[in-house]
Formats: sequence, C-alpha cells, structure tokens
Amino acid sequence: MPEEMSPEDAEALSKQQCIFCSIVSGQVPAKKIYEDQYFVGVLDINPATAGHILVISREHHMIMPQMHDDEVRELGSAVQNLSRSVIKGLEAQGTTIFVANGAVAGQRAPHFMLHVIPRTENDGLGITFVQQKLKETEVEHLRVKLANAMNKLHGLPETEQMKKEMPKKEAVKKKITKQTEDNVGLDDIAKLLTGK
Amino acid sequence: MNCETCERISKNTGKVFDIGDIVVMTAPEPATYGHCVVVSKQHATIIEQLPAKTIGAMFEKANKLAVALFETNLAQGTNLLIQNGIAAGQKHNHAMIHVIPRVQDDMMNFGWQPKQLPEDEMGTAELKLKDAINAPEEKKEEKKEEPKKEIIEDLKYFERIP
Repeated sequence: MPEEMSPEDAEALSKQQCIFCSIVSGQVPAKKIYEDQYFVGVLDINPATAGHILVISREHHMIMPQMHDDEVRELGSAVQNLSRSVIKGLEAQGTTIFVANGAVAGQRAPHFMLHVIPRTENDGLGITFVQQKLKETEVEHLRVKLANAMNKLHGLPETEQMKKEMPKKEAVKKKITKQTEDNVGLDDIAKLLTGK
Repeated sequence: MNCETCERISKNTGKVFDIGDIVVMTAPEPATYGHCVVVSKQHATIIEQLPAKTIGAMFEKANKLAVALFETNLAQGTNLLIQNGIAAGQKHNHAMIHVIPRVQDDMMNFGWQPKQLPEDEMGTAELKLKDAINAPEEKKEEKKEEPKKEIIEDLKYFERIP
C-alpha cells in the first residue's frame, strides 16, 4: 500500500476489499435471515452458539459512531426483533447483544457488526465483566466530565458540576431493601408482552 | 415492585444525561473507568418488553455516549453489551445497555470460542430464525389465547432476576 494514500482513497480501498460489503451485496454467499433499509442479518459461520447472528450495516461504516442517528435507532429495533426471534424460534433463555468499536475493544474486521448470541444457562460462554473498585470521588468526577460531553453533543450548555456532598446514607438503605426483591411483577411483564 | 435501577433513576444517582424516556448513568458495577449504562425510565426486565421506539432511542444514546467517551479521551475503543436474561449474565431486573470504554492493555476480554457447526445444524437454525422473524404478526391474530400462556411460561425464566 502506498504510504501517502489519502484517507478517502484508503477508505475506498478498504471498502473494495471488505468481505462484509461483499456479503451485503450478495457477491459472497451467506445465510441471510434478515434485511431492512440499513442492515442485513446473517448467521455467523463460526458461531459462539447455534443461531449466532451478525447484524451488518449496508453502508461501509467501520465503527458505530460513524452511523447517523436514524440508522442507530433502526438498529435498536432490528436487534429487538432479532432477539425476540432467537428466544421464540430457537427456545433460547436469553441473548447476548455485543458490539466492539475499535481493535482495543476486540474488533477484528473493518466493518461494523453487531452480534446477537443465543444463550442458555450454563452454556459456559462468559462474555461478562468483573467489577472494578472505584472511589466515589473518581466516579463523580467522571460523571461530570461525561455529562458535559453529552450536553455538548446535544448542543446544550456544559453546566454540570461536582456534587459537594456524596449521598452516603442512601448506600446503606439500599442494602436493606435488596433482600426483599424476590418477586419481580410477572403480571406487569405479561401485560407488557401481550400489549395490554 | 422493587427495582434498584428505578430507584437510581428517581434519585438521579450517577446521572450523566436524561432526555425523554432515556437516562444515561454511571454503571452500578463498573468494569472500567467510564463504564456507563443506558436505561429507560419505563421499567422492563428484558428488551423485548420495551416499545421498539424506546429501544431505538436507547441505542442512539448509547452511541452518543460512545462518542463522548472518545471525545473525553476516556476510551480508545468501546464495547456495547446487553445481557438480556440471566442466561446471558444479566444482574439487574431492569434492561440496560452497557457502554464500556476500552484502552490498550486493559486486561479485559469479551471474546468467545468460535465453533464450527455441522451444516444441518446451521440450516436448522437458519430456517427456525427465518420463521420466527417473518411470522410473528400472523401468529398473534390466529391463536389469541395460547400464545399468551406460552409467553408467560417463557417469562418465568426471566422473572428470577436478580
């Protein structure tokens, strides 16, 4: 590859050689199970579990932050539809929905994809994380930083400031209530699902 | 109903951003510095229970947060994760999208072991999924009472959260 390639040329080349673009266009065969205006859903040829779906963008986006808002919203409802279909059609007990943006996050291909992985209890798959201990002041500092960044992205003034007092009493209260929450309202869930 | 997440929402605990039905807040159990979750104010245990519009809005805000993490130099990469159901490792009885900032050598690993499945198993999964994706509307109208039971039985599983 020539060293002085412009970003535009580099992108065009990357697109030309992109296997996922070829899957979208149909030049490379794949088990397509879903299609909409922005996305194509195919079965992963090296799945984590049977029925593992890759949702691929029609456009050659490398990472999700390159997508426009409408596309991302559509992705959300497509994923919901696919997850529901996995649970009903494959009798899965849950789904893991996963995106890696960037190589440090584990991304291996230069084309956006989202994984919908059917899960059953004790399938030994992992895909989870361990809690890190952070100081309350650290978290509060972070909260302010992100709140202002989010405000900025939404065209709002960056007015968020550190809270002077940390609510310590609430933490104790929460521990007590935790013991009594066995029963999550099944009726509520059923109502929601049946649309009543 | 007792939901820790609903309580955090109502008390603005760790609130990063709040718009319409969506709240972005610092993660209750952060995996890395900057880990946040995107939730809806409407309580739902799994994403299937939310209106499509709400889950769409959650995705949009999760993506905005990923941008914010890049812009504040808190991340060189990001993971978006939904643990939908306890089989998927869900720990809270409120559906949420985890947005996890990643940096070089952070010792995290979300990888899995890829499998090579026999062609017939792949074919079966393909057919079953296609049926489920294309048919849901019809089924609802055809048999009104039975699917309701079926759905409720399915949900006994999710009901055990947390």
